[in-house]
Amino acid sequence: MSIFELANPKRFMEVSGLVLPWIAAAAALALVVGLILGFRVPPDYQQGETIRIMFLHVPAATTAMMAYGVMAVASAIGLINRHPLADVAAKTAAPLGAVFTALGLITGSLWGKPMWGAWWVWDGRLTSFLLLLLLYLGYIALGSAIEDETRSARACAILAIIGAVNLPIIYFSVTWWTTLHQANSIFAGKIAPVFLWPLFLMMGGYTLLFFSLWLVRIRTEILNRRARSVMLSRAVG
Amino acid sequence: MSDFLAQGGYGLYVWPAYAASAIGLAGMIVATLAAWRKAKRALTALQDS
Repeated sequence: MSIFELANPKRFMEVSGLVLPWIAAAAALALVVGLILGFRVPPDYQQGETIRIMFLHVPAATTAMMAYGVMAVASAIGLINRHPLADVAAKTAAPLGAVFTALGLITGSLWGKPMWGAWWVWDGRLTSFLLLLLLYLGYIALGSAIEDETRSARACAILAIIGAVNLPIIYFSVTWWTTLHQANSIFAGKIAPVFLWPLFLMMGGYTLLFFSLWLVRIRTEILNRRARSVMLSRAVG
Repeated sequence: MSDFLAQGGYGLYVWPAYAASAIGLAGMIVATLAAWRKAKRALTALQDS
């Protein structure tokens, strides 16, 4: 089955309805086990118990970036193939991405204060991540400002695609500008294995939670549009 | 227990981080499911009428 078969809303409802319970259950399991393990690891030799904030901060931040990535890809598909389901997929990812971004900023701030002595610094990573939140909020505002569904989706898609430039900037910011935020360490073998298990479980849990909620939101929007077309056909008929 | 709550003296930072994350994730779940139920109800009502 190709992905374009799924682009048929009826087919999408069938397939997503089948996979959704499994993804949601896997998300719940990963989050519960990750949470328990996260409180059983010893304190870090430098950062003490604040290391437990890492199990929330890193998953929120990576999920926020991934959500923007899928939103930009869906936007590009919507723009090129003019498919309404791709527009719906992009639009419904934005509010979720914004919440994950806010959680990344809040937990980062609560980690920064005890470790750096500051809630906030205008460092490359923090600033580009704040820009990610502004991009999400701008995307949502733009979408609700244009009433016509197709025009709104097109304008939003362009904003989402241009804003995707910020993703590599966020990722490489800690390499380009070495300030307070630590460098990428997860896949560089710089984290003790004992911390990696809860971290990966939480990252998996956050990612699967995003996909579960995203699917429900796409399904919701399909129902809403179905209802609108029923009303429209009755008004005409 | 109080050791657990103290989090090595960092409880004031660790617990708000967990509370904020719990509120954020739960809020998304509640809002998403509420919208789904509302849409489903509206469509059923429309099809029945």
